[in-house]
Amino acid sequence: MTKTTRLLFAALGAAAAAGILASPLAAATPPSPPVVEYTIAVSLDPAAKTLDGTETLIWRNPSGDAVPELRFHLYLNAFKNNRSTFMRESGGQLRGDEAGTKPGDWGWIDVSALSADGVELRKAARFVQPDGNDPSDETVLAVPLPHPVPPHGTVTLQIAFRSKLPKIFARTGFVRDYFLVGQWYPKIGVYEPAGVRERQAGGWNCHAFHAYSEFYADYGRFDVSFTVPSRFVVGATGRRVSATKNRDRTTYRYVQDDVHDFAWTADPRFAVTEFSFDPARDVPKGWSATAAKELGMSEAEIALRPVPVIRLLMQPGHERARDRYVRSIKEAISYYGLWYGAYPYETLTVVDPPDDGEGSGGMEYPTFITGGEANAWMTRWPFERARLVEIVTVHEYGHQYWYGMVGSNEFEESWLDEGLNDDSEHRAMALAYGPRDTAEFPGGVGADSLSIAHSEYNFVSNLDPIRRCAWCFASGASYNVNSYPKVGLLMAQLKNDLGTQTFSRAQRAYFQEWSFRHPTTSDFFRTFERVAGRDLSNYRRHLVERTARLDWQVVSAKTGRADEDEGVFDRPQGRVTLEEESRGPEPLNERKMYTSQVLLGNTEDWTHGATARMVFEDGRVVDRRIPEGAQWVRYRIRYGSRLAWAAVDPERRNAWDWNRLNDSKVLGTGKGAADTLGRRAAAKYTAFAAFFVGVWTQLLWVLA
Amino acid sequence: MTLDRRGSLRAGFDALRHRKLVLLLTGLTAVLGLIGATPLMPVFQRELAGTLAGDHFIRNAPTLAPADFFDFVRFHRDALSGVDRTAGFVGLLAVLQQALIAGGIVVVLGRGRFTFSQFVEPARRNLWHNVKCLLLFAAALAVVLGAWFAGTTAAFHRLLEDAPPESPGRTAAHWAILLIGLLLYGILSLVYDFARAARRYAPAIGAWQSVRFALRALRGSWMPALLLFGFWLAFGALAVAAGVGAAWLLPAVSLPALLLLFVVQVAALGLRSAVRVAAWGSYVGFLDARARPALASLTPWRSTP
Repeated sequence: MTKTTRLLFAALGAAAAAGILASPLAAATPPSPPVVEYTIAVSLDPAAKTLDGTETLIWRNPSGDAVPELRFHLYLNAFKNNRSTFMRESGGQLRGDEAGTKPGDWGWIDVSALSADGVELRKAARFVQPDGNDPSDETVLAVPLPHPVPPHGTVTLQIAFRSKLPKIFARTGFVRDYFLVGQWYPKIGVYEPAGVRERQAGGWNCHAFHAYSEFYADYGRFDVSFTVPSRFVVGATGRRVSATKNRDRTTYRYVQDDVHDFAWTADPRFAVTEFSFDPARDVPKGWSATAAKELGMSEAEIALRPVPVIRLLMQPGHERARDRYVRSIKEAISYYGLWYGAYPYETLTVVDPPDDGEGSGGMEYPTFITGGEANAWMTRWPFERARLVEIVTVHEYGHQYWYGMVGSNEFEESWLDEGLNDDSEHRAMALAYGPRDTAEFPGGVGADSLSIAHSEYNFVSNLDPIRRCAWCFASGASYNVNSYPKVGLLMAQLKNDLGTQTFSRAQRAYFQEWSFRHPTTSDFFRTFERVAGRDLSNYRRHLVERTARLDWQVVSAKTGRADEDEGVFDRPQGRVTLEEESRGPEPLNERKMYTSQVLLGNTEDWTHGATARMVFEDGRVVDRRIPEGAQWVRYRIRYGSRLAWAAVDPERRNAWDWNRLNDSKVLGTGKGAADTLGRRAAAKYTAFAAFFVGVWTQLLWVLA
Repeated sequence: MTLDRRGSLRAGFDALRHRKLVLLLTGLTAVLGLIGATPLMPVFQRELAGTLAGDHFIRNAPTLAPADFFDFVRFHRDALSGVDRTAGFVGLLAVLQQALIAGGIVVVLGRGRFTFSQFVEPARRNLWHNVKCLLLFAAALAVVLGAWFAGTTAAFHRLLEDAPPESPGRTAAHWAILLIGLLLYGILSLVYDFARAARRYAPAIGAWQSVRFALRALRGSWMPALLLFGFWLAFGALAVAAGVGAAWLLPAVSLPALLLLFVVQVAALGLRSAVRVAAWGSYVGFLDARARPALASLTPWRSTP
């Protein structure tokens, strides 16, 4: 870092301390006029599992370039055969579910007509493979235009299409007569002008549909009408404008502005719970004050708006989860709204998938999310406080912010939506459910989100950095760990290092500035550095762009009687020779002295400070701050009590630390802080291990 | 409940007077448990007594204990997989140990006090017979239950694939598959146990003949026998659940509480052992009334006086 940069950051730090930069920035507004305007009419054939539709798309060129070609996502072709990029990468297994193998289980989309301003375009259209040599992939359609779309000009497209929905295993499709209709229509890619997302020159960002990626699109208006048999109960993105019955079929029309996708669902068995969110009634007690304090704002400034229509569409047999859904929806609306900004839409639809359609669960679409894990087993003892229903609901709602409103590119930087949302979810869950937010079981055992995130982090081989295109990771597990829990830990590390207030203000500023826009990793760090007044390149370079790890540990700790003086000494009274035998018995009132030596080391490649704690048998606690750049530190302390234990990072502020077990060494026990019960624990858990093996052998008596 | 079954049940509870048998089973189980836990002992000593992790665990410290637990699982996979392997080996030992002990139990139960040699001699003598019975039982179990579950799963997928997950048909089918599977296991288990008990009445009877004996003894008495089986199965399951539950729910932080925990754990193992002895007592009581005609029908075998 240059001197100028240091000065700049010092100035920013001072400004931040004064609260200047932490004050709320003007919220970004949706693009006006919108980049895309879709008007779609579609009809569902529940027997054939097909959709027949027409689409009118107005696309506004957001750049100063003349654009000679359009690019469309045809996501459903990912399910067309086993040669698609998606199926090759996933092997037909994703999200804990498997692709069907029957002829009717495949899915596809055909564009039967395509014209622009009356000019036929379909014949010239061709499938392209922008991400490599996978010639069989048909998920991106390139459409050359007879005349380029002029800079900031518009083109109106008329499209007719037929979609066959796949049997659900990855987000979209059908099981029996449950339909979760996502990624179902020809959807235009994102034309990124030069300068947007660090592009040197304008161009299409329209990737193939990969197994380990989700979506990226431009904001606009969706006006969608779908016709289904009247026995179906439906839900969709946006606000229902009309429901028109025509004999045994009903056409529903939904409209929503300022969103980048549209999904809908239909199932005759849905049980509908309709409710609203009223901030005065539904914000949990104390949350508003806590948020205001953290953000340095008044409660009036962060006041939430009501959400008038929330529809929960539940499966029969899942009734026990209803209250849990409702509570967690309200908590999610409260948390995200207070900390980042009020939910701006008037509706929210939450779909509870059937047990055999869990592949469609845990998904996010604008104003429309799918929950999950609400089956009868998971809502009964002893699992009723395993909060999977709540976690999924809070997480997917959180995507209304990190994906829905902040439109980062999930293909290229999945950490910016999944990861940031993982952190938000951890914080919301901890606030709502306490330190054992993820699960509590009989006997008092349980787990918190961050501990689980840490376990995922160190269970998976550390092969990839956090920032990497979604299909570039070494494996699905590597994509998952780098897109979700590792980012949760990174954010926890940042929060601990910056302080909760600075961190929360930075997060809010990032949301406010980048809503309805397409930020990148650089934009994220720019916002955080400005608000924090600190250079955070160390985090970006090592933790986001590389695979650096941190592992502070107590390498050794020992304690023993301090050596007495022995040998020849020149003292004021003259030269004396001291030897053990000549010393005589110790005076009764003289305190024994002990020397304790502790060696702490960071055996990994990310240098970061920590706190060392040494506790003596008499209960005395000594804390020392280890310098930022140190790789190891040795403490030698002469004190009138033995060292009881030594620990590095005893408060667990280094969320990034690889292994916590080696963070301490216990040499003895004593009183106060020195009183540890490890020996009892060893006896207790040895007995438990033997007991469980014994019980296991007795269970085998059914064979004997 | 018929007088006959009441008599068999009483015989089961009467068998609990043989405390030495209960203690023997409990002791052997505890020893096997300790052997199985061996790979973890040095790791527990080092990681729980030697770091703060043990302190976090025993105090159930919020966020610290779960994090340490996951790290323990991550960084001591070898020790855990050692326990896994050892538990498999110990399980095999437990099955063979039961084959040995059952040979003595079926002879001494219901015949008053017995000496150590009176128990060991038939146990040793019947060991090979019991192993053969075990192999027959294992083969029958694999074939019958394998066919049942494979067949019903295939039928289930064919007939009920399109039924909603919580539909009554699916739920009923699940329960039917499970309960009939349990019934089949009960039938095979009774034949197996009665075949081993045949040595009580015919000390030199072979494995095949003892299976025929069991089938003869059960002829016309399947229902009371299955009820007995179900009673002891349920009682045993309850004993295990109660024992595990009691041990699990004890916080056990202070030294007296830890000692209480050890007592509860041993008592839980003892309870299941007692149920085992009582079940044998019931079966022997049940067979005593039927063994003679059953053996009489098996030429050339005759019952012992």
